[in-house]
Amino acid sequence: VDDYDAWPGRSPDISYGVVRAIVGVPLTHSTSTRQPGPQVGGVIGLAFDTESGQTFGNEEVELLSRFAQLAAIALDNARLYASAQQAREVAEAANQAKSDFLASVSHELRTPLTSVLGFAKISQRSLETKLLPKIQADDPRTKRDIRHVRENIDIIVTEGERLTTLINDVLDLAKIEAGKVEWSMQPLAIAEVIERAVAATASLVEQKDLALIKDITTDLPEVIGDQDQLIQVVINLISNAVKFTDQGSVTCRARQVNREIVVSVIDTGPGIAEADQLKVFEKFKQVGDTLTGKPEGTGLGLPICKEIVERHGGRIWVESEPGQGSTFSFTLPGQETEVETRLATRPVDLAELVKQLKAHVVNAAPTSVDHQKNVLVVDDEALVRKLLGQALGEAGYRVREAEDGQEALDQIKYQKPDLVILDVLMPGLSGFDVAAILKNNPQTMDIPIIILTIVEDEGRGYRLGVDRYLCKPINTELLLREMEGLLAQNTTPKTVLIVDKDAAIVEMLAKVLQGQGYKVSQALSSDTFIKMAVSVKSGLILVNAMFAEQSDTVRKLRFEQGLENVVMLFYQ
Amino acid sequence: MESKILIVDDEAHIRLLLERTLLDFEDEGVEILTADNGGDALEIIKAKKPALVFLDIMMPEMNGFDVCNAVKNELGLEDVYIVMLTAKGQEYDKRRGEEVGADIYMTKPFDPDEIYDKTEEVLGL
Repeated sequence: VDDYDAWPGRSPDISYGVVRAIVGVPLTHSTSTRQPGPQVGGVIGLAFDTESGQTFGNEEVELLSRFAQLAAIALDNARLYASAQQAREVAEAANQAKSDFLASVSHELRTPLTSVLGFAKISQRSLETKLLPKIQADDPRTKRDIRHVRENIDIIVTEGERLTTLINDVLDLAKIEAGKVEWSMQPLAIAEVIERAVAATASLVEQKDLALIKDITTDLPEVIGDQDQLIQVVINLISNAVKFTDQGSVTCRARQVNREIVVSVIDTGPGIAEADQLKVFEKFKQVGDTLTGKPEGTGLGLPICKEIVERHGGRIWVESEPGQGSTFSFTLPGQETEVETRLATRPVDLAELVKQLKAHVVNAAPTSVDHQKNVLVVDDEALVRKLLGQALGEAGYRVREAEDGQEALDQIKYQKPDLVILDVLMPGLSGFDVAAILKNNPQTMDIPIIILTIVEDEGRGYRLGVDRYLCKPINTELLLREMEGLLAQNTTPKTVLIVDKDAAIVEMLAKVLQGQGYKVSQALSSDTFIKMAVSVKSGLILVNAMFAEQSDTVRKLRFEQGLENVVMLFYQ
Repeated sequence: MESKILIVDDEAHIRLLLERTLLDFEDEGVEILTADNGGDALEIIKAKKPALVFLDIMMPEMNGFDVCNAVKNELGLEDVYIVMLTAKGQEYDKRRGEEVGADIYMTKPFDPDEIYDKTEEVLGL
């Protein structure tokens, strides 16, 4: 508006003839929860006064529009962040309420259950020891009735005991999930854990006439863990194996693989179809043929095992083929615990290191991206999916969406995307779970994963092997830049040389970086360092700062071997 | 046989269950006493000095921990064998039970056979 006073839309309160020209630009945002589509959330404007006599040209309008756009993005982000924050608080409060509720329910259930089970048991006893011996049962009907009463009471006792286990399991799981379990982590021998679990399940195994084989390598290193909880895990796995196996054997095996201890329970039972192998670790998901006999149990044994194993920094999985038996295995970090203790005194800032590395890689690999790449956006919030869908669509990506972890895995199985953007807090499988599954499967481990979350746990993300870890609120420009970098990098794997005297640290870094798609070589001494640096021709060298200080190698390499252009990163 | 057993629980059915479980002992001359609250329990323990007490924890007003603490630490009746019965499987309860000097700790639902065996053992039958 060039002549404000003549403008019919002017404010009736401003009529002093001071305003000459005004310009206003709407702030449009797209995250209203009430209405779909862009919304006008406000207006920013400028005015010239009559004294200046100036009016606005196209350039000023364009500049203002750009400011308006930026402000709108900032508002969008702020709004999204606030709603995510709120959602998280609600979820946390609900989770706490759920745990409290479960604890008191389980407590209240025990009193009536004590009566049901207790009276059934004493009735059983007096029936067997006192009443039945006195009954002359000659006619078939009386015999049948006696048999029925006996069976009926047996059923009450069996089901009462099953209910007790269920209540205990529910309470255990609720306590673990609510972080209320006190873990007493101590160095322990895994062989003893297995011995004790085997002893506890001996009667179970005898009942079914199965062979229980122990196959434990001697000289296994100690692990750090909560002995009782780990015994519980092995007991659960053995009882499951026994439950589903009618003939053959159950083998309990412990091996050292790299730096991990792998404990496996191998049965000769019916096996588990591939489609069901992930489900068995979900709560209340019992798989199997319900017609040929529903397995007894609570459906919580394996989810509890999973919680306990993950709490120890390990993984649990099953390998099986129908008809060929099943092998349930879990890992415990063996000597790596040593690394962790050392890391505690000498922490390597993984997140920072990865950030620096990636900065160099992005610089080194100029972006030439085929924009028709498939991206899978996984987030339980429709708003976030929509926002990302729009932004990525505009940037030329083909976007697919999944609203939870399971759906994401299903979609990936059906069509492998070029990149996955993954939220963490979702119902069912969390983003961390999904990332772990993808990065452990050879068919999907090369798909770059960007975690986009409000959960600030970068370390965990990178340990799982995710490629980038971004926090909400969403910074679309940064996200797009990271995506381009990853998609370009994916086609040309980068080589990194790690140099440190501490083999454990090298091992740990190598693992993390390999998870990130780097090719890693290692050097533990100055001599190998020089040899490797010259022969491998890494674009990047990671050097322990202490090592670099103590030896002259770095300087030698740079100036005597002509490696001035190699990027060297130092870490503490 | 002079032995006495005291059963303390605010739930009538649980008291009945324990009484019936211990019926064999009553037949052999053991006196079975009951109380449905902590205060009464303490009075009975003071007056009758039972050899064995089955003590529920969660009771209104005076709970099982308080009763146990009074018996073992304040009255100095260390010979009274106290079995704590609780509906909670919490570690915290176990520790608290140890602190107040309980002899053993059983989680509900308890097995009547275990109660029976424990009684046999404590009374030396």
